[in-house]
Amino acid sequence: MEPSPLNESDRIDRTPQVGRALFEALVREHGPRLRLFLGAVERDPQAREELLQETLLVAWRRLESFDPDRSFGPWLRGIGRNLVLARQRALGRRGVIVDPSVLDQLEGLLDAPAQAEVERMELELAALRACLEGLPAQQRAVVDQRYREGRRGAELARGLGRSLESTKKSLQRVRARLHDCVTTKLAAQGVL
Amino acid sequence: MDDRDHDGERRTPLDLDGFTIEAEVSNARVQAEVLWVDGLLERALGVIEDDRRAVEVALQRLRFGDGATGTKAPGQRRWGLVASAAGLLVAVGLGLLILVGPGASSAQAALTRALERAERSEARAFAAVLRRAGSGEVVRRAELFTGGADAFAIKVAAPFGGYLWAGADQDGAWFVPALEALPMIETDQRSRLLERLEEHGASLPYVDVLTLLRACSEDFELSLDRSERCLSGVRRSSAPPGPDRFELQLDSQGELFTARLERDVDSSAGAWVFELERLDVAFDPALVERASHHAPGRRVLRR
Repeated sequence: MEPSPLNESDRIDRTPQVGRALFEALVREHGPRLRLFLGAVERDPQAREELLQETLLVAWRRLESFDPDRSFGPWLRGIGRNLVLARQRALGRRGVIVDPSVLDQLEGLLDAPAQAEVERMELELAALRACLEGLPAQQRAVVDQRYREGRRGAELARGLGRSLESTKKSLQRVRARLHDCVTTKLAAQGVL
Repeated sequence: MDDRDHDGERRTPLDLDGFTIEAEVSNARVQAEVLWVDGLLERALGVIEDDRRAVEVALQRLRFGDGATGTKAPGQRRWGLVASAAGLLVAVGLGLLILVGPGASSAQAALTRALERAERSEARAFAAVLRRAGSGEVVRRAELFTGGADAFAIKVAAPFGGYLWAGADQDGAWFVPALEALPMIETDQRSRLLERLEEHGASLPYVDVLTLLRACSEDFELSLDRSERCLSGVRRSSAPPGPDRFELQLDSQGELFTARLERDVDSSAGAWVFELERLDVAFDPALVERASHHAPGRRVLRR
Protein backbone atom coordinates (compact mmCIF):
# COMPACT_ATOMS: atom_id res chain seq x y z
CA MET A 1 0.00 0.00 0.00
CA GLU A 2 1.40 3.33 -1.01
CA PRO A 3 1.25 6.02 1.60
CA SER A 4 -1.33 8.71 1.12
CA PRO A 5 0.25 11.19 -1.30
CA LEU A 6 -0.96 14.29 0.45
CA ASN A 7 -1.82 15.66 3.82
CA GLU A 8 -5.31 17.04 3.77
CA SER A 9 -4.28 20.15 5.64
CA ASP A 10 -2.20 21.28 2.69
CA ARG A 11 -4.23 19.78 -0.07
CA ILE A 12 -6.48 22.49 -1.29
CA ASP A 13 -4.43 24.76 -3.45
CA ARG A 14 -6.87 27.32 -4.79
CA THR A 15 -5.04 27.92 -8.03
CA PRO A 16 -7.15 26.54 -10.87
CA GLN A 17 -4.74 24.00 -12.33
CA VAL A 18 -3.53 22.60 -9.03
CA GLY A 19 -6.97 22.75 -7.45
CA ARG A 20 -8.43 20.27 -9.89
CA ALA A 21 -5.50 17.88 -9.65
CA LEU A 22 -5.78 17.88 -5.88
CA PHE A 23 -9.51 17.41 -6.08
CA GLU A 24 -9.02 14.35 -8.25
CA ALA A 25 -6.39 12.99 -5.86
CA LEU A 26 -8.75 13.42 -2.95
CA VAL A 27 -11.62 11.82 -4.81
CA ARG A 28 -9.47 8.82 -5.73
CA GLU A 29 -8.67 8.35 -2.09
CA HIS A 30 -12.12 8.95 -0.66
CA GLY A 31 -14.33 8.00 -3.60
CA PRO A 32 -14.42 4.24 -2.90
CA ARG A 33 -15.65 4.90 0.63
CA LEU A 34 -18.20 7.35 -0.74
CA ARG A 35 -19.42 4.71 -3.18
CA LEU A 36 -19.78 2.18 -0.38
CA PHE A 37 -21.80 4.77 1.56
CA LEU A 38 -24.07 5.55 -1.40
CA GLY A 39 -24.43 1.89 -2.35
CA ALA A 40 -25.44 0.97 1.17
CA VAL A 41 -28.58 3.06 0.90
CA GLU A 42 -29.21 3.14 -2.84
CA ARG A 43 -29.70 -0.42 -4.02
CA ASP A 44 -30.32 0.33 -7.67
CA PRO A 45 -26.95 0.15 -9.49
CA GLN A 46 -27.79 2.87 -11.99
CA ALA A 47 -29.11 5.21 -9.33
CA ARG A 48 -26.00 4.52 -7.25
CA GLU A 49 -23.64 5.59 -10.04
CA GLU A 50 -25.86 8.58 -10.71
CA LEU A 51 -25.58 9.61 -7.08
CA LEU A 52 -21.82 9.15 -7.18
CA GLN A 53 -21.60 11.39 -10.22
CA GLU A 54 -23.86 14.00 -8.72
CA THR A 55 -21.92 14.02 -5.48
CA LEU A 56 -18.66 14.67 -7.30
CA LEU A 57 -20.27 17.39 -9.39
CA VAL A 58 -21.61 19.16 -6.32
CA ALA A 59 -18.32 18.66 -4.43
CA TRP A 60 -16.31 20.17 -7.28
CA ARG A 61 -18.66 23.10 -7.45
CA ARG A 62 -18.47 23.66 -3.70
CA LEU A 63 -14.80 22.94 -3.25
CA GLU A 64 -14.17 26.47 -2.11
CA SER A 65 -16.40 25.87 0.87
CA PHE A 66 -14.36 22.87 2.02
CA ASP A 67 -12.38 23.58 5.17
CA PRO A 68 -8.90 22.10 4.61
CA ASP A 69 -8.47 21.66 8.36
CA ARG A 70 -11.15 19.01 8.25
CA SER A 71 -11.20 15.61 6.63
CA PHE A 72 -12.28 15.44 3.02
CA GLY A 73 -14.02 12.03 3.27
CA PRO A 74 -16.78 13.02 5.70
CA TRP A 75 -17.30 16.28 3.80
CA LEU A 76 -17.71 14.38 0.55
CA ARG A 77 -20.05 11.83 2.12
CA GLY A 78 -21.99 14.68 3.71
CA ILE A 79 -22.78 15.94 0.24
CA GLY A 80 -23.73 12.41 -0.78
CA ARG A 81 -25.92 12.12 2.29
CA ASN A 82 -27.85 15.27 1.36
CA LEU A 83 -28.35 14.02 -2.17
CA VAL A 84 -29.57 10.66 -0.89
CA LEU A 85 -32.10 12.39 1.35
CA ALA A 86 -33.17 14.73 -1.46
CA ARG A 87 -33.69 11.74 -3.73
CA GLN A 88 -35.59 9.97 -0.99
CA ARG A 89 -37.86 12.97 -0.60
CA ALA A 90 -38.40 13.10 -4.33
CA LEU A 91 -39.28 9.43 -4.59
CA GLY A 92 -41.44 9.40 -1.47
CA ARG A 93 -42.63 5.98 -0.46
CA ARG A 94 -41.80 4.48 -3.83
CA GLY A 95 -38.12 4.36 -2.92
CA VAL A 96 -36.16 2.71 -0.16
CA ILE A 97 -36.60 4.70 3.00
CA VAL A 98 -33.53 5.11 5.14
CA ASP A 99 -33.76 7.17 8.26
CA PRO A 100 -31.22 10.02 8.48
CA SER A 101 -30.07 8.59 11.81
CA VAL A 102 -29.02 5.42 10.00
CA LEU A 103 -26.96 7.51 7.59
CA ASP A 104 -25.32 9.20 10.57
CA GLN A 105 -24.49 5.84 12.14
CA LEU A 106 -23.16 4.57 8.84
CA GLU A 107 -20.97 7.65 8.54
CA GLY A 108 -19.68 6.89 12.04
CA LEU A 109 -18.71 3.40 10.90
CA LEU A 110 -17.02 4.63 7.74
CA ASP A 111 -15.14 7.56 9.22
CA ALA A 112 -11.53 6.63 9.80
CA PRO A 113 -9.87 9.83 10.93
CA ALA A 114 -6.48 8.34 11.66
CA GLN A 115 -6.14 6.38 8.44
CA ALA A 116 -6.16 6.69 4.71
CA GLU A 117 -9.61 5.55 3.69
CA VAL A 118 -8.46 3.34 0.85
CA GLU A 119 -6.11 1.52 3.19
CA ARG A 120 -8.81 1.17 5.81
CA MET A 121 -11.22 -0.32 3.30
CA GLU A 122 -8.65 -2.84 2.14
CA LEU A 123 -8.05 -3.89 5.74
CA GLU A 124 -11.79 -4.32 6.20
CA LEU A 125 -12.09 -6.42 3.07
CA ALA A 126 -9.09 -8.55 4.06
CA ALA A 127 -10.65 -9.13 7.47
CA LEU A 128 -13.96 -10.06 5.86
CA ARG A 129 -12.32 -12.53 3.49
CA ALA A 130 -10.58 -14.19 6.44
CA CYS A 131 -13.89 -14.33 8.30
CA LEU A 132 -15.61 -15.90 5.28
CA GLU A 133 -12.99 -18.65 5.30
CA GLY A 134 -13.97 -19.47 8.84
CA LEU A 135 -17.69 -19.83 8.19
CA PRO A 136 -19.36 -23.22 8.54
CA ALA A 137 -20.29 -24.72 5.16
CA GLN A 138 -23.99 -24.10 5.66
CA GLN A 139 -23.53 -20.39 6.34
CA ARG A 140 -21.00 -20.08 3.55
CA ALA A 141 -23.57 -21.49 1.16
CA VAL A 142 -26.05 -18.82 2.23
CA VAL A 143 -23.49 -16.08 1.62
CA ASP A 144 -22.38 -17.50 -1.72
CA GLN A 145 -25.89 -17.84 -3.08
CA ARG A 146 -26.87 -14.37 -1.90
CA TYR A 147 -23.73 -12.42 -2.81
CA ARG A 148 -21.77 -14.44 -5.35
CA GLU A 149 -24.78 -15.67 -7.34
CA GLY A 150 -26.93 -12.62 -6.61
CA ARG A 151 -30.05 -14.56 -5.59
CA ARG A 152 -32.67 -12.73 -3.65
CA GLY A 153 -36.02 -13.31 -1.95
CA ALA A 154 -37.96 -16.40 -2.91
CA GLU A 155 -35.31 -17.46 -5.43
CA LEU A 156 -32.71 -17.47 -2.70
CA ALA A 157 -34.96 -19.47 -0.38
CA ARG A 158 -35.61 -22.01 -3.14
CA GLY A 159 -31.90 -22.27 -3.88
CA LEU A 160 -31.20 -23.01 -0.25
CA GLY A 161 -34.17 -25.35 0.05
CA ARG A 162 -35.54 -23.38 2.99
CA SER A 163 -38.52 -21.28 3.87
CA LEU A 164 -38.40 -17.52 3.44
CA GLU A 165 -38.41 -17.02 7.19
CA SER A 166 -35.55 -19.44 7.70
CA THR A 167 -33.57 -17.76 4.91
CA LYS A 168 -34.08 -14.35 6.44
CA LYS A 169 -32.91 -15.62 9.81
CA SER A 170 -29.87 -17.26 8.27
CA LEU A 171 -28.84 -14.07 6.52
CA GLN A 172 -29.40 -12.13 9.68
CA ARG A 173 -27.23 -14.51 11.69
CA VAL A 174 -24.42 -14.76 9.18
CA ARG A 175 -24.17 -11.00 8.75
CA ALA A 176 -24.13 -10.51 12.50
CA ARG A 177 -21.43 -13.16 12.80
CA LEU A 178 -19.38 -11.56 10.05
CA HIS A 179 -19.77 -8.13 11.61
CA ASP A 180 -18.49 -9.39 14.95
CA CYS A 181 -15.66 -11.29 13.29
CA VAL A 182 -14.52 -8.33 11.15
CA THR A 183 -14.62 -5.83 14.01
CA THR A 184 -12.72 -8.25 16.24
CA LYS A 185 -10.01 -8.71 13.62
CA LEU A 186 -9.76 -4.98 12.97
CA ALA A 187 -9.55 -4.28 16.70
CA ALA A 188 -6.79 -6.87 17.03
CA GLN A 189 -4.84 -5.00 14.35
CA GLY A 190 -5.39 -1.75 16.19
CA VAL A 191 -7.54 -0.42 13.37
CA LEU A 192 -10.66 0.25 15.41
CA MET B 1 -47.84 -1.75 10.33
CA ASP B 2 -46.08 -0.45 13.41
CA ASP B 3 -42.75 0.91 12.31
CA ARG B 4 -41.31 1.33 15.77
CA ASP B 5 -39.47 -1.26 17.81
CA HIS B 6 -39.80 -1.96 21.48
CA ASP B 7 -37.50 0.96 22.34
CA GLY B 8 -39.71 3.36 20.43
CA GLU B 9 -36.97 3.92 17.88
CA ARG B 10 -38.06 4.42 14.31
CA ARG B 11 -37.60 1.44 12.06
CA THR B 12 -37.29 1.76 8.35
CA PRO B 13 -37.83 -0.75 5.59
CA LEU B 14 -34.55 -2.39 4.63
CA ASP B 15 -34.61 -4.58 1.59
CA LEU B 16 -31.22 -6.08 0.93
CA ASP B 17 -32.21 -9.55 -0.08
CA GLY B 18 -35.55 -9.30 -1.80
CA PHE B 19 -37.55 -9.17 1.40
CA THR B 20 -37.67 -6.74 4.28
CA ILE B 21 -35.21 -7.63 7.00
CA GLU B 22 -37.37 -6.46 9.83
CA ALA B 23 -35.50 -8.24 12.59
CA GLU B 24 -32.27 -6.55 11.63
CA VAL B 25 -33.45 -2.99 11.82
CA SER B 26 -34.21 -2.73 15.51
CA ASN B 27 -32.17 0.44 15.77
CA ALA B 28 -30.18 2.80 13.63
CA ARG B 29 -26.80 1.46 14.74
CA VAL B 30 -27.68 -2.15 13.92
CA GLN B 31 -29.14 -1.14 10.60
CA ALA B 32 -25.98 0.79 9.74
CA GLU B 33 -23.87 -2.24 10.69
CA VAL B 34 -25.97 -4.45 8.42
CA LEU B 35 -25.53 -2.00 5.55
CA TRP B 36 -21.79 -1.81 6.15
CA VAL B 37 -21.32 -5.60 6.19
CA ASP B 38 -23.60 -5.94 3.17
CA GLY B 39 -21.50 -3.40 1.25
CA LEU B 40 -18.28 -5.22 2.15
CA LEU B 41 -19.75 -8.58 1.15
CA GLU B 42 -20.77 -7.21 -2.23
CA ARG B 43 -17.18 -6.14 -2.78
CA ALA B 44 -15.46 -9.19 -1.33
CA LEU B 45 -17.49 -11.58 -3.47
CA GLY B 46 -17.15 -9.59 -6.64
CA VAL B 47 -20.75 -8.82 -7.48
CA ILE B 48 -20.21 -5.09 -7.63
CA GLU B 49 -18.01 -3.18 -10.02
CA ASP B 50 -14.66 -2.23 -8.55
CA ASP B 51 -14.94 1.01 -6.61
CA ARG B 52 -11.75 2.52 -7.94
CA ARG B 53 -12.80 1.89 -11.49
CA ALA B 54 -16.24 3.38 -10.86
CA VAL B 55 -14.68 6.44 -9.25
CA GLU B 56 -12.29 6.77 -12.17
CA VAL B 57 -15.22 6.73 -14.59
CA ALA B 58 -16.96 9.40 -12.55
CA LEU B 59 -13.80 11.49 -12.58
CA GLN B 60 -13.46 11.03 -16.31
CA ARG B 61 -16.82 12.65 -16.67
CA LEU B 62 -15.60 15.62 -14.67
CA ARG B 63 -12.53 16.10 -16.83
CA PHE B 64 -13.49 19.02 -18.91
CA GLY B 65 -11.55 21.81 -20.48
CA ASP B 66 -8.28 19.92 -20.90
CA GLY B 67 -5.88 21.29 -23.42
CA ALA B 68 -7.06 24.22 -25.48
CA THR B 69 -9.89 25.33 -23.27
CA GLY B 70 -7.94 25.19 -20.03
CA THR B 71 -9.37 24.52 -16.61
CA LYS B 72 -11.25 26.98 -14.51
CA ALA B 73 -11.29 26.93 -10.73
CA PRO B 74 -14.42 25.97 -8.83
CA GLY B 75 -16.70 28.93 -8.76
CA GLN B 76 -15.19 30.31 -11.94
CA ARG B 77 -15.90 27.58 -14.41
CA ARG B 78 -19.14 27.09 -16.25
CA TRP B 79 -21.18 23.94 -15.85
CA GLY B 80 -21.73 23.75 -19.58
CA LEU B 81 -18.27 22.31 -19.85
CA VAL B 82 -19.28 19.33 -17.77
CA ALA B 83 -21.88 18.25 -20.27
CA SER B 84 -19.48 18.94 -23.13
CA ALA B 85 -16.78 16.83 -21.54
CA ALA B 86 -19.19 13.99 -20.88
CA GLY B 87 -20.29 14.06 -24.50
CA LEU B 88 -16.68 14.05 -25.64
CA LEU B 89 -15.90 11.05 -23.49
CA VAL B 90 -18.81 9.17 -24.94
CA ALA B 91 -17.42 9.97 -28.36
CA VAL B 92 -14.05 8.46 -27.54
CA GLY B 93 -15.58 5.20 -26.47
CA LEU B 94 -16.14 5.49 -22.78
CA GLY B 95 -19.86 5.39 -23.25
CA LEU B 96 -20.02 1.74 -22.27
CA LEU B 97 -18.66 2.60 -18.90
CA ILE B 98 -21.08 5.39 -18.28
CA LEU B 99 -24.34 4.24 -16.86
CA VAL B 100 -26.30 7.47 -16.94
CA GLY B 101 -26.48 10.10 -19.66
CA PRO B 102 -24.53 13.24 -18.81
CA GLY B 103 -27.45 15.50 -19.61
CA ALA B 104 -29.73 13.69 -17.22
CA SER B 105 -27.11 13.67 -14.49
CA SER B 106 -26.30 17.37 -14.86
CA ALA B 107 -29.97 18.20 -15.07
CA GLN B 108 -30.70 16.26 -11.92
CA ALA B 109 -27.82 18.02 -10.19
CA ALA B 110 -29.14 21.40 -11.36
CA LEU B 111 -32.59 20.57 -10.06
CA THR B 112 -31.15 19.44 -6.73
CA ARG B 113 -29.25 22.71 -6.52
CA ALA B 114 -32.37 24.70 -7.33
CA LEU B 115 -34.18 22.87 -4.54
CA GLU B 116 -31.38 23.54 -2.11
CA ARG B 117 -31.34 27.19 -3.12
CA ALA B 118 -35.09 27.41 -2.65
CA GLU B 119 -34.82 25.84 0.79
CA ARG B 120 -32.12 28.29 1.84
CA SER B 121 -33.17 31.38 -0.05
CA GLU B 122 -34.08 34.68 1.56
CA ALA B 123 -37.40 36.33 0.92
CA ARG B 124 -38.52 36.01 -2.69
CA ALA B 125 -41.62 37.15 -4.54
CA PHE B 126 -43.08 35.49 -7.64
CA ALA B 127 -45.93 36.29 -9.98
CA ALA B 128 -48.01 33.22 -10.80
CA VAL B 129 -50.44 32.78 -13.66
CA LEU B 130 -52.63 29.79 -14.37
CA ARG B 131 -54.27 29.52 -17.78
CA ARG B 132 -56.86 26.83 -17.99
CA ALA B 133 -58.42 25.82 -21.29
CA GLY B 134 -62.01 24.69 -21.49
CA SER B 135 -65.29 26.23 -22.55
CA GLY B 136 -63.51 29.56 -22.19
CA GLU B 137 -59.98 30.27 -21.11
CA VAL B 138 -59.68 30.95 -17.40
CA VAL B 139 -56.79 33.05 -16.21
CA ARG B 140 -55.98 33.07 -12.53
CA ARG B 141 -53.29 35.35 -11.16
CA ALA B 142 -51.51 35.12 -7.85
CA GLU B 143 -48.51 36.47 -6.02
CA LEU B 144 -46.31 34.07 -4.15
CA PHE B 145 -44.00 35.10 -1.32
CA THR B 146 -41.38 32.82 0.17
CA GLY B 147 -39.64 33.50 3.42
CA GLY B 148 -36.75 31.06 3.54
CA ALA B 149 -36.90 27.46 4.72
CA ASP B 150 -40.35 26.28 3.72
CA ALA B 151 -42.43 29.27 4.79
CA PHE B 152 -44.56 30.89 2.14
CA ALA B 153 -47.73 32.86 1.53
CA ILE B 154 -49.77 33.13 -1.64
CA LYS B 155 -52.28 35.83 -2.53
CA VAL B 156 -54.82 34.70 -5.10
CA ALA B 157 -57.37 36.84 -6.85
CA ALA B 158 -60.75 35.50 -5.76
CA PRO B 159 -63.37 34.81 -8.48
CA PHE B 160 -65.86 37.26 -7.00
CA GLY B 161 -63.48 40.00 -5.96
CA GLY B 162 -60.92 40.48 -3.24
CA TYR B 163 -58.06 38.16 -2.47
CA LEU B 164 -57.62 34.79 -0.85
CA TRP B 165 -54.51 34.17 1.19
CA ALA B 166 -52.94 30.84 1.95
CA GLY B 167 -49.60 29.97 3.45
CA ALA B 168 -47.59 27.75 5.68
CA ASP B 169 -44.65 27.79 8.01
CA GLN B 170 -43.06 25.33 10.37
CA ASP B 171 -46.12 25.47 12.65
CA GLY B 172 -48.62 24.48 10.00
CA ALA B 173 -50.72 25.87 7.19
CA TRP B 174 -53.42 28.54 7.09
CA PHE B 175 -56.06 29.81 4.73
CA VAL B 176 -57.82 33.17 4.74
CA PRO B 177 -60.98 33.48 2.60
CA ALA B 178 -61.61 36.69 0.74
CA LEU B 179 -64.89 37.27 2.53
CA GLU B 180 -64.14 38.64 5.98
CA ALA B 181 -67.23 37.07 7.47
CA LEU B 182 -65.74 33.63 6.89
CA PRO B 183 -63.28 32.27 9.45
CA MET B 184 -59.57 31.79 8.93
CA ILE B 185 -58.68 28.11 8.70
CA GLU B 186 -55.65 26.48 10.26
CA THR B 187 -54.47 22.97 9.48
CA ASP B 188 -51.44 20.75 9.99
CA GLN B 189 -51.63 19.54 6.40
CA ARG B 190 -50.28 21.76 3.66
CA SER B 191 -51.99 19.66 1.04
CA ARG B 192 -55.32 20.88 2.38
CA LEU B 193 -54.55 24.36 1.04
CA LEU B 194 -55.18 23.19 -2.50
CA GLU B 195 -58.54 21.81 -1.42
CA ARG B 196 -59.47 25.09 0.29
CA LEU B 197 -58.56 27.07 -2.82
CA GLU B 198 -60.65 24.76 -4.95
CA GLU B 199 -63.60 25.12 -2.57
CA HIS B 200 -63.38 28.87 -3.05
CA GLY B 201 -63.23 28.63 -6.84
CA ALA B 202 -59.56 29.54 -7.04
CA SER B 203 -57.78 26.23 -7.61
CA LEU B 204 -54.11 26.22 -8.50
CA PRO B 205 -51.82 23.26 -9.21
CA TYR B 206 -49.14 24.57 -6.86
CA VAL B 207 -49.00 27.13 -4.10
CA ASP B 208 -45.31 27.06 -3.17
CA VAL B 209 -41.96 26.83 -4.89
CA LEU B 210 -40.59 23.83 -3.00
CA THR B 211 -43.57 21.66 -3.85
CA LEU B 212 -43.31 22.71 -7.47
CA LEU B 213 -39.61 21.89 -7.66
CA ARG B 214 -40.08 18.56 -5.88
CA ALA B 215 -42.83 17.69 -8.34
CA CYS B 216 -40.40 18.43 -11.18
CA SER B 217 -37.94 15.94 -9.76
CA GLU B 218 -40.41 13.07 -10.02
CA ASP B 219 -41.20 11.03 -13.08
CA PHE B 220 -39.64 13.34 -15.67
CA GLU B 221 -36.97 12.83 -18.27
CA LEU B 222 -34.74 15.77 -17.48
CA SER B 223 -32.45 17.75 -19.73
CA LEU B 224 -30.30 20.81 -19.28
CA ASP B 225 -29.33 23.12 -22.10
CA ARG B 226 -25.76 24.17 -22.77
CA SER B 227 -26.14 27.44 -20.89
CA GLU B 228 -27.08 25.32 -17.87
CA ARG B 229 -29.77 27.85 -17.08
CA CYS B 230 -32.67 26.13 -18.79
CA LEU B 231 -33.85 22.88 -17.26
CA SER B 232 -36.67 21.00 -18.90
CA GLY B 233 -38.55 17.84 -18.20
CA VAL B 234 -40.93 15.57 -20.09
CA ARG B 235 -43.18 13.30 -18.08
CA ARG B 236 -42.43 9.63 -18.49
CA SER B 237 -45.23 7.69 -20.11
CA SER B 238 -45.55 5.36 -17.13
CA ALA B 239 -45.80 8.21 -14.63
CA PRO B 240 -48.98 9.03 -12.71
CA PRO B 241 -51.04 12.04 -13.85
CA GLY B 242 -49.40 15.44 -13.60
CA PRO B 243 -47.87 18.11 -15.81
CA ASP B 244 -46.77 16.72 -19.16
CA ARG B 245 -43.72 18.93 -19.40
CA PHE B 246 -41.98 21.79 -17.67
CA GLU B 247 -39.27 24.30 -18.27
CA LEU B 248 -37.35 26.05 -15.50
CA GLN B 249 -35.08 29.02 -16.01
CA LEU B 250 -32.37 29.28 -13.37
CA ASP B 251 -30.31 32.33 -12.53
CA SER B 252 -26.52 32.41 -12.38
CA GLN B 253 -26.67 31.05 -8.83
CA GLY B 254 -28.78 28.10 -9.88
CA GLU B 255 -31.87 29.54 -8.21
CA LEU B 256 -35.30 29.36 -9.80
CA PHE B 257 -36.12 32.40 -11.92
CA THR B 258 -39.08 31.29 -13.99
CA ALA B 259 -41.10 28.11 -14.26
CA ARG B 260 -43.60 26.94 -16.86
CA LEU B 261 -45.54 23.72 -16.38
CA GLU B 262 -47.98 22.40 -18.95
CA ARG B 263 -50.70 19.82 -18.82
CA ASP B 264 -52.14 18.83 -22.18
CA VAL B 265 -55.20 16.89 -21.14
CA ASP B 266 -57.09 17.04 -17.92
CA SER B 267 -60.36 15.14 -17.95
CA SER B 268 -61.91 17.36 -15.31
CA ALA B 269 -60.83 20.83 -16.33
CA GLY B 270 -59.01 20.72 -19.64
CA ALA B 271 -55.43 21.59 -20.40
CA TRP B 272 -53.58 24.14 -18.34
CA VAL B 273 -50.37 26.13 -18.22
CA PHE B 274 -48.95 27.35 -14.93
CA GLU B 275 -46.23 29.99 -14.98
CA LEU B 276 -44.13 31.47 -12.24
CA GLU B 277 -41.78 34.44 -12.56
CA ARG B 278 -39.55 35.84 -9.85
CA LEU B 279 -40.15 39.51 -9.13
CA ASP B 280 -37.54 42.02 -8.17
CA VAL B 281 -39.57 43.59 -5.39
CA ALA B 282 -39.06 44.02 -1.68
CA PHE B 283 -41.79 43.02 0.77
CA ASP B 284 -42.28 42.78 4.47
CA PRO B 285 -41.00 39.33 5.57
CA ALA B 286 -43.85 39.21 8.07
CA LEU B 287 -46.15 38.65 5.11
CA VAL B 288 -45.39 34.94 5.23
CA GLU B 289 -46.39 34.73 8.89
CA ARG B 290 -49.92 33.67 9.70
CA ALA B 291 -50.19 36.36 12.38
CA SER B 292 -50.06 38.99 9.67
CA HIS B 293 -53.27 37.62 8.21
CA HIS B 294 -55.22 37.08 11.39
CA ALA B 295 -57.39 40.15 11.73
CA PRO B 296 -58.50 40.89 15.30
CA GLY B 297 -61.83 39.33 16.04
CA ARG B 298 -61.81 36.99 13.07
CA ARG B 299 -62.74 33.44 13.95
CA VAL B 300 -60.23 30.66 13.45
CA LEU B 301 -61.24 27.12 12.63
CA ARG B 302 -58.89 24.15 12.88
CA ARG B 303 -59.44 21.46 10.26
